[in-house]
Amino acid sequence: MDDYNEIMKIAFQAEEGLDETVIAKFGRRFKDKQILIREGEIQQKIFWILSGEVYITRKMGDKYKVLTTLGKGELIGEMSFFDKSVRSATVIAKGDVHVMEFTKEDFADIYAASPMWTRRLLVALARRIHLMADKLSQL
Amino acid sequence: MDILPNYLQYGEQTSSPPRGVIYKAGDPIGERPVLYIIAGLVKVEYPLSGSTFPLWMPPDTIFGLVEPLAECERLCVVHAMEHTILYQWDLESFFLAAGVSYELAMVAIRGLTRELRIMNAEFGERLGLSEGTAR
Repeated sequence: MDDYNEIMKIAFQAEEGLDETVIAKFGRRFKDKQILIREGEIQQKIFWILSGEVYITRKMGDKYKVLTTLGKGELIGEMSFFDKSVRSATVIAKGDVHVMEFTKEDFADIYAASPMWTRRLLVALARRIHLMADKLSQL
Repeated sequence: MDILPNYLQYGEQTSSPPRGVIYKAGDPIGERPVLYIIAGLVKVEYPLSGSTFPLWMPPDTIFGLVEPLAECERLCVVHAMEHTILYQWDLESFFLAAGVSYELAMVAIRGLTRELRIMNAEFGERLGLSEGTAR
């Protein structure tokens, strides 16, 4: 296994298992109100929040309506990443945010390095579907 | 059957007759909660206030994964609309299979992604959020 796979294994086997090498390779910092993802764009990147929070918003005229807020441990951008959709929301930093950022090209290597990544991603999606099912049931 | 994808392993094959209820909202998740459609057609209905929101699942789709991962009882009603042949796993056996098959992992991830995307769109439409968004 090469160094890259070793890094990914460390990164995804445990949330606390991140070291400086991983963060240096994939980490990215955003400042308050900086945009991570812009609605309407085609961009195949996925973000994993290490610290801080982000607003998930949709543009309504000249303003952004906040749909929800996501924080540490949450994944962002997985829908466009896996299903070739146009970004459906704008994601804005709420204060300083530190994320890990991955491209489409990284994913097969991430999968090979750690099956936990698949599980983590599926759990994140399932929780969101659960939340959305609850919201829909109240409409 | 000679058309089974080779990533269908560590579980077992089952089937449902036309109009058979596979599970209902409120049901416990059971021993083998994760299902893959080998052949047939399945309708998933999420409850709304006074109605339901349907999702149609064609072959080579996974369903039943949300509740064991979200650790909740069944959220929706699932019917087989035709005679449907399924493959089912317990959660750990599913992850074992997905751990050795990138293709199966992608089927699961794309399936949940698509389901969430459709639900988001439905939610947005019902709240009128689709108006004025960039397309």
